[in-house]
Amino acid sequence: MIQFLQLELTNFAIYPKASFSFSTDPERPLTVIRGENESGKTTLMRAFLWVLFGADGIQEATGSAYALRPVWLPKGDPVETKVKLTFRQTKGDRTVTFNLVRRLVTTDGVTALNLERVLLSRQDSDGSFKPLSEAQIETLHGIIRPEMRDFYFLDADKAVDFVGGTETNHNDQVMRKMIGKSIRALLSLDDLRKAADRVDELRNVKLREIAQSNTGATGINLQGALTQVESVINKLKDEIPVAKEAHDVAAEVYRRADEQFTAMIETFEKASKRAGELKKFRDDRERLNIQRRQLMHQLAERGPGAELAAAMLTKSLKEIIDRLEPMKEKGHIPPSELEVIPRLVKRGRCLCGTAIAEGTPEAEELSRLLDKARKTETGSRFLDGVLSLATTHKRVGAAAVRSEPIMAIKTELARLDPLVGELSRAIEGIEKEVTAEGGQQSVATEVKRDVNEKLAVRDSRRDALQRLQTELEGHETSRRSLQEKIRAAAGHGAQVKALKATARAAELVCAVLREAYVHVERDQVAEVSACMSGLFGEMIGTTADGLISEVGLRAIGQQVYNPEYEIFARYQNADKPLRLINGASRRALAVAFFLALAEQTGIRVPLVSDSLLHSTSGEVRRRLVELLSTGQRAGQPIMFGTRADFQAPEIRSVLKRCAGVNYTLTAQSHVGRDVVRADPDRQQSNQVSVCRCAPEEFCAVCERVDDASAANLRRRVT
Amino acid sequence: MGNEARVRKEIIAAVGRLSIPDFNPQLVEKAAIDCVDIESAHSHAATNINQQVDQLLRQLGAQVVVNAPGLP
Repeated sequence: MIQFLQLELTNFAIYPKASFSFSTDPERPLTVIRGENESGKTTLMRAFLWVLFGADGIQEATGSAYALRPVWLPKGDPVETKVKLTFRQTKGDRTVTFNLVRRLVTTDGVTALNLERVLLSRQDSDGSFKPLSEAQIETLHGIIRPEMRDFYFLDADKAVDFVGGTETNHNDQVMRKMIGKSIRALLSLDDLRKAADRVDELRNVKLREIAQSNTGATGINLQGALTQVESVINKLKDEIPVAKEAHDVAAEVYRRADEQFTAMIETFEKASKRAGELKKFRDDRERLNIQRRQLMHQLAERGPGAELAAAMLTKSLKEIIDRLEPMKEKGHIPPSELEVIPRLVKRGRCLCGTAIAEGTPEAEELSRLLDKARKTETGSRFLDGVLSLATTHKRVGAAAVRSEPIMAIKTELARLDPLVGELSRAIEGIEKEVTAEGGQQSVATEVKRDVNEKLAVRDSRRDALQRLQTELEGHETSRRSLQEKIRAAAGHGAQVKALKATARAAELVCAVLREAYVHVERDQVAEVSACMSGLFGEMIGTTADGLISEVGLRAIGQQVYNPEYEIFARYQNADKPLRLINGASRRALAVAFFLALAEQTGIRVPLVSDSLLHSTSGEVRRRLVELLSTGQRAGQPIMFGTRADFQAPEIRSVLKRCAGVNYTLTAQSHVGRDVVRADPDRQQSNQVSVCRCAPEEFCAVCERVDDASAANLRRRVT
Repeated sequence: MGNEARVRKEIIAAVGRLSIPDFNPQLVEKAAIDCVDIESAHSHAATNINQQVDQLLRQLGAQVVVNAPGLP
């Protein structure tokens, strides 16, 4: 149960400051708020709607603060409008009191309403009010649901909308829309229907996800691709070792050939270096030989050939003497003995110390001398000369031939001869080496060609191996990718399975909720319909023989779930079109519908009604007021009306019995017309004053012309 | 009977009337009632409601996957 306790307005439209406390007396639950036309009843209703529902509650003023801003303030003056509603909610034994405050500062009539500030606070056990968080403020709409707005606050215009509008502008679609909305809001089936629809939508989402997932590659396709890739990988893994071995062999062959070639090149380089040395040695020897020949020539010029020969054969002097002396003693030395000289020379040495070996320049020189001797002298004479000189030399020793110029030449020759000998031996050794290696040049060229061929083979095999390895890496990457996709597909399969299971669960839950919804709604609508018919009959006083024998609700169309409903009226066992039902019956029908809904659903909330009694009269009005005032069916009645609505004695009787609180609204702009005097507390002429007068009372604030003289009115003692 | 009790009663009756293979009827009942309770508790935070109801349906679906591994 929800009850409004107090409504406080500050700077709200035509209310500078006003406070209304509402009756919570179970014996006299009615709060009457009387006001003539243009005295602030509708504005007060708007204050309720704004504080509870914000801008949504005053849709006609959305985007404009005109409906809220104090009318007496000029444009540009900032002012805060504030409405505070205190209400309580009782659930079982527990009652909680709330303060709801909504504020908005305006400087003109177009201030955006979304700038408003809301504060909801809850009373604690110590009596203080503690503000709730923004999230908790949302719970306000769970307590006072926006869709029930038209049930809390009912004015004459809205009431007739429930039966299709006014008589002259009837529209069944309006009626069906309003009826369906109210039934579903007040039967508390909105949650059930929303739950069913939400579950159905989630099921559709799952089905869409399943459909989308089926468009991708399946695990089976991926597995086939993986098998193919693995087959290629295995083939490559077989080929690669063979290719690697072939490459290694080629590489080794090449390496060895290259090593051989490199060694050969080193040898060539070494030989080349030796060749350089050889040339130098040859050049040196040639130079020395030239010097030596020059010396020998000089020496030759200094004596006859025989002397030279003798001089050169110093160490063989004894043998020369021993050989030639006997021949000379026999008379002569035969020229045939000239050959003995070279043989002797072979064993001897030159005076300079140089070995006279066959083939040496010295020997050649000696041969030349001997040849000369044969040509220029007889051999006997030459040999005589040699014998004579040898004898002389032997006798006088080497000194005889060591005259100074000759000695100088000989000394020089003695220096040169060893050098020439050493060079000749070195040259001979190098020539042997170079001769041995020189034949390898052509071989090297062949080897180099072979090395290049082996390198080409090795590179070719290396390239083949690399191609295989690259191919293998590519396929292994493909395999990893496919394996990941297969794993994902496996996970995806599990996901799809879960989606299907969730979709199936949703299908079942939705079916259960809709089945339950159909049954609850059908049963409740039938109950509401029966109750409505009874209430209507009670208000209008119809009977089976009257103009309307039965009213109620019924579903239209073939739709079982969430059908449209309409109000029907029957006359003499036939439907009576609602457009033919007159004004008083239309309001009675609407009120019967509301009260039946409230009674059947057990809802107990404030029912703020404005001008509902218009166009009713007599017993119908009395019964209507009776039904609305007792609070037995709807909850806390708060009734707005004019004095004319309440002046009938039978109405006053009901109000006297049921009204716990009364208020009268007086527009100060009426002062000077039918309002007698201005409120002494008023600040502006276009404001509203509030007093506690009941409909049959008047006071200094609300007194109107003729009130004092009216027999059915009395002055309220303040 | 209040509406909440009536709704619960009709949900239980609906589970009885509907043939529900693979699923535990008590779990379906509980899921359906929880869906309505979630809806009642959140009149505005629609995203949050979707998440809660989705979670609830997944749990119920997971139960049937366990019980019926051959679910197509």
